[in-house]
Amino acid sequence: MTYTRRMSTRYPGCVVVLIDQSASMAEDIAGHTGITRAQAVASAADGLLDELVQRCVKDDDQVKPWCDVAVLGYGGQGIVSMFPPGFVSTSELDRFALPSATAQDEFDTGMHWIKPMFDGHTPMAEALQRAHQMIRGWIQKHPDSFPPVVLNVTDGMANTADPHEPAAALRRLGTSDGNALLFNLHLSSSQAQRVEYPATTPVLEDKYAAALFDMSSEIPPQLVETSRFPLQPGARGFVFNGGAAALLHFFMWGTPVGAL
Amino acid sequence: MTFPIAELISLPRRHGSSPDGEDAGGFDEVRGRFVLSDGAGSAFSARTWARTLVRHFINDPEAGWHEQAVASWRAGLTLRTPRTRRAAEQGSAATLVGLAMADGVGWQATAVGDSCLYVLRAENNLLPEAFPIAWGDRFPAAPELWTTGRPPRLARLAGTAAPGDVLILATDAVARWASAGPPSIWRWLATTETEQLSATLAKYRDESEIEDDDLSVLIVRPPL
Repeated sequence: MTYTRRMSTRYPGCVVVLIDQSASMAEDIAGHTGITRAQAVASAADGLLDELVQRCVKDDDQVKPWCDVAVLGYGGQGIVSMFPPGFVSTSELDRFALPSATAQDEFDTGMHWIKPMFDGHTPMAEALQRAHQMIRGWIQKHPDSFPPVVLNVTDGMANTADPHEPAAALRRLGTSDGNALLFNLHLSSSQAQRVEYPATTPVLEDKYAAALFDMSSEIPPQLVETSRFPLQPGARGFVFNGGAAALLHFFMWGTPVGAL
Repeated sequence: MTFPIAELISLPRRHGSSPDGEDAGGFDEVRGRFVLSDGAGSAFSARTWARTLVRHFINDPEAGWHEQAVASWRAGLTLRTPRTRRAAEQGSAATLVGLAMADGVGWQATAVGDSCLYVLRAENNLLPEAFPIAWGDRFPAAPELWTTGRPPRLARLAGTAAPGDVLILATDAVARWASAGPPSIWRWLATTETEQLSATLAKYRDESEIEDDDLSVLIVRPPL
C-alpha cells in the first residue's frame, strides 16, 4: 500500500516549494488593494514552512529532522534557490528565517523566510525541471520515504515554455511509497471565490486556472481518507485563491488529529 | 483472595520520535485495573499525555478526571521555546482502552478510538468479542481521540469473566493485524509465552507483516 510511510528521522519527507517571482507578481491580489501577489505568495509559502516546522516539534525543545525542504524562486533572475544548500532539514529551517517580520497583514504568520520579489518572465517550466533534478537526487538517498511533495505558488502566467510536460515528468518520479505529488496554489487577480481540491476542471474567469488544474496531481485515495476536508474522488492538488498550509494535512504524520 | 494476572508487551516503533514510543500501558492487578493508551503520532507530547491517561485511569477507571489529567499533562511540560509553547497550546491526543474488574469476575471496559479489547472465551475457539471496533467494522483512518481540548465520548462495555477466559487489550497496529488474520491468532496471542510473543511480534513488524508502529498488548487472565 502506498502513501503510508510516516515521516521520521530514518524516513524523512521532502517538500519543494516553487515561488513565482515574475513581474506580474507586482499586481495587487484580488480584493486586497496594496497587497501584491508577491507578498501574498511569500506569505503563503511562509505559512507552509512555519506549519511544517511546527509539525516537527514533539516532546522537547528540538525540532525533529523529519522533512527536507527546498524553496526555488523563479522570475527574471532565473531559478534561484532560497536556501544555499538546496535542501534544508526542518530541524535547521528556523535558522534560515529572515531576521525580522516586515508585513503585519492578514497573511502574516510570524516566521518569514521568503522575501517578496517580482521581475521579468515566468520560467515555470524551467523551475519544474530544476525541481525534478533535485528530487531525483533526493529519492536516490531516500528511496523508501513518503514521496516528495512539490508546491507551486503562482499567479499562473507561465510564459517561457509549456510547463505541462515538466510537470508530468515530475509526477512520474517516486519512491517505493508512491509517486511525487504536485500541488498548485493559484493566487489570481480574479475576485472569484476560493476553490480547494476540485475533482473536475473548475469553471473560473482566470484563463490559467484550467492549465494549473491539469498539471496538479490527483490526491491518492489513501490521503483522501485521512483528510480533514470532505474530498470528492479524483480531487486534485489544486487550490485557487486559498492558503497553502492546509496541504500539510495530506502528509503521513501518524494518527491524524483534528481540532484539539 | 486471588487476583487477575497481567502481562504487558510494549515494543516502541523503530526510528520513531521517541525511543520509548508513544504508547503507554499499565495495570494494578490487586485493584483490577488494566489500560493501554496510544499517543497520536501527529500530536505534541503524545507519550506524556498517554502516560497521564494511563495513570489517571488506574487511579479511577470511571474516568471523570479529564480536567485534572490536562492540568497534570501541562504541569509536566518543559516549554523553553516559542515553538514548544505554541505546540502545547495546540494540545495533545491519544486513544485509550481500559478495563476495570470487580472481584476478578465482573468487568467494565472503557475505550476511545482504535485501541481495542478482545474477550477470548475459554469454552470456544471462535472469534473473541471485539470492542469498541466490532467485527466487520473498518478501523478508521482518523480514529476518535482523547484530546487535551475537551472530555471525550467514552465507549463502554460490561461483561463477566469466567475462569480460563483471556482478555486482550491491544493498540491499533496489533489489533488491525490480528483482526485480519485467522481466528487461531487469538488463541496464539493468549497462550504464547510473553518473551516469545514479544520477539515474534517484533519479527513480524521487521518483516512488514505488522505496520511500523508502536506495538502494545496487555493480556489479562482472570483468577481461576
